[in-house]
Amino acid sequence: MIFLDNAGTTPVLEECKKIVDRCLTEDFFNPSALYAPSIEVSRKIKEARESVLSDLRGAGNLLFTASGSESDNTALFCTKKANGSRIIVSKNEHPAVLNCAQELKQRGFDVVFCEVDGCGRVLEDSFRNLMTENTSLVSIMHVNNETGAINDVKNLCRIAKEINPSVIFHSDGVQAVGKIKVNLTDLNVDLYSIGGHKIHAPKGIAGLYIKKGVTIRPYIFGGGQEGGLRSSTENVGGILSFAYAVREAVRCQKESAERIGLLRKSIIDELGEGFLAVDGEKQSPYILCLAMKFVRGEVMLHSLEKYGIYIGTGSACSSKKSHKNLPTILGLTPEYENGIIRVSFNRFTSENDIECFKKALKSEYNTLLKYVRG
Amino acid sequence: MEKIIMVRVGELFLKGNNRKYFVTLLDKNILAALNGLEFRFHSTQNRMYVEKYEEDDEGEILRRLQCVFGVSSLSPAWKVESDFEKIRMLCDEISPKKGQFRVTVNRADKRIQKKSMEIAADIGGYMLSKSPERKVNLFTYDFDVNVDMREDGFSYVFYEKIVASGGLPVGCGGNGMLLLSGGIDSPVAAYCMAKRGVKIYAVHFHSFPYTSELAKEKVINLAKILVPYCGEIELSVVPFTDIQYAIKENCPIEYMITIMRRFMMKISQKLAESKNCGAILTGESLGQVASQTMESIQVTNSVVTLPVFRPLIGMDKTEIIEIARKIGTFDTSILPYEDCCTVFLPKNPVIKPSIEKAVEYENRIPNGAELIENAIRNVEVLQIR
Repeated sequence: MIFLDNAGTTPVLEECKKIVDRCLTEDFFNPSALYAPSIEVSRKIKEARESVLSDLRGAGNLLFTASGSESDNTALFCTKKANGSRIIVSKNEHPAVLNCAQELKQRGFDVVFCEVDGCGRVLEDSFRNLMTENTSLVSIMHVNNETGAINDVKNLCRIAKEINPSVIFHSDGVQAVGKIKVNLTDLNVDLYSIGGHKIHAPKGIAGLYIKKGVTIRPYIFGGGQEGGLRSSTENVGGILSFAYAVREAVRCQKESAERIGLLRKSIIDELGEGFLAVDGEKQSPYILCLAMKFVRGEVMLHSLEKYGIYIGTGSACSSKKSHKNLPTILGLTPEYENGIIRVSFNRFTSENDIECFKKALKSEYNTLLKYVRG
Repeated sequence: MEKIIMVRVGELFLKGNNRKYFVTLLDKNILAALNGLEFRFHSTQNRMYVEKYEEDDEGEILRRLQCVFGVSSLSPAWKVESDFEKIRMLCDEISPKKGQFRVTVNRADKRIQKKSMEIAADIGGYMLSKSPERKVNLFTYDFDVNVDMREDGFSYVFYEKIVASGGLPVGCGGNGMLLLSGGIDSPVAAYCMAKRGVKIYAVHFHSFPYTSELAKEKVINLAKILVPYCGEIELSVVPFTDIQYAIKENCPIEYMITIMRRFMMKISQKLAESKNCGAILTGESLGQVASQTMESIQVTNSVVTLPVFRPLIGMDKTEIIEIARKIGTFDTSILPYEDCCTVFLPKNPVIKPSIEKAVEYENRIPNGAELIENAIRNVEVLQIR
């Protein structure tokens, strides 16, 4: 199997599995109980939190959540915002942000959408024009999940704070951590979402970084876990394995990014007639968005399945509404707009994987081209 | 006394000497429907009884039996020996203490001398004497105490008759091969034919990579929703892409769907024969789309010799949707995965095709028979239960 849909999810590291296993068996204790083994578990959680904060150079708190979507929802709904104030999100945010923004609009906030360029990267001028003193919240993703475009979050955050020093700046970094360099103190963002299963931790664990001094309202009430912000018995195995996965991803980040970047480039260089690649100046090496002429993305996805190659799709006909934006953003002509596929890598993706993929893509494309709709 | 569920059968009475066959089949279907629950079941001449079940399973049993064809109505009831004293006391105990009521007695056990009207008056009188806030009213009443005195020496007391699906027990009408597309109509056609006792076999045409695993999952889910009505369904998934390629390469695009459907019918007939099916079933409704005009149906029908039953042929879409909602297939049917018909959809399909042209174009495909053989050889058979 050649798995090239790593922006969707990644296989879990062996060590993460071991950690989870230990937490389900020997260390099954509820961290809130008072006996010694529980206190030990609780201490490990504290260490995990500190470890992630240190790896990402964060100064503040890290809230453990169950998903990137939960982190985004928390950032958008649980921060203090004056009634009717402005909220800025970029046009191609993940649905976990876009749909929150739509809901906040319904609730009377002045929600505006920032323009992006043909690669899905936020346009600084558009942002500057939208940013007002009355803006209470900004949410702009660090790395776009569909195209891999990297936003200049540091600069956008600076601009935002110049215009309104008390604005809350959130960034969804689920596709960034471990893939590109992330330094939370340097970015100076107030809130930052991170996720586990995109970096080889299990599903069901994620986090929201909360900069020192930023307040969040509790949103799950109960036993007071996570400093009272999110009551729920802790997902101990998830948390500990997540911390391990972050550490490993950050440790390997630079070297892997260079290697994967070369593989990505080799695909683009060898694309034949009928393909367009989304390849901006600031680009995550782990995501490659392609558009094919005449052939539907979903059909290519299924065709590659028979080789055991799994990719993602950005098909406009798919039921997932989030993708409907993409062809417009990329400025695709009609013959390309249904042909979007997303190929995404992880740090273990090999040269051989990519060679097989290139060969299969080329051969399937030529076959399918014969049977396009009349 | 004991709580039981009384099962009444409908049309079976009409079937004279075949009655035993129908009842045996219905017994079998009821047992299958209640699979996994604790209960005892017994069947008498005119009634069936579900007994000795967990009290909190009553709702579940009623829900399942309502879907079984051949069952006309159901009543949760109290079972008591046919002893007047016991019946009187039971009726008093389980009935509301106030309100207007009547007592209806059915005396199937002719060994009992008293006439049913007298028995009713006797029970009613006792109930009145026990609670002064009760009033008898034969025409407008809050509750109707039904006492059914059966030949087995037991009486059954109940208040309500829950209407069930009616129809005939699945299996008594033979086997039918249903073309199951994943749309709204074909599951409804399955329901309609199962109601007339037909055991459903289904065939689905799958155009991988043009339709996804999700489209296949959708069809499996639809079949699952039908199981409470139809019983176990054997679903044959036919790989259809190579045939579509061949048509696309050799035939004019406006005949794409017509010829595709002729292939589907041919394959369905072969599968039908192998499963002992006496008919092909489709969800076609006259004039609904280009492939369902009278001319199109004639052209597709002409490749098979088995009768083709089209229970929806005279229905409006709204009527079909009403049934789809009732049986619970609608929400699954409208999920947006493409089915094999839409993949190569021409912009202007022929509305009035002719058999001569269809045959002529079809003959341009050099290896039609071989393609059909291949498709059948590679069928994936799934038992949906």
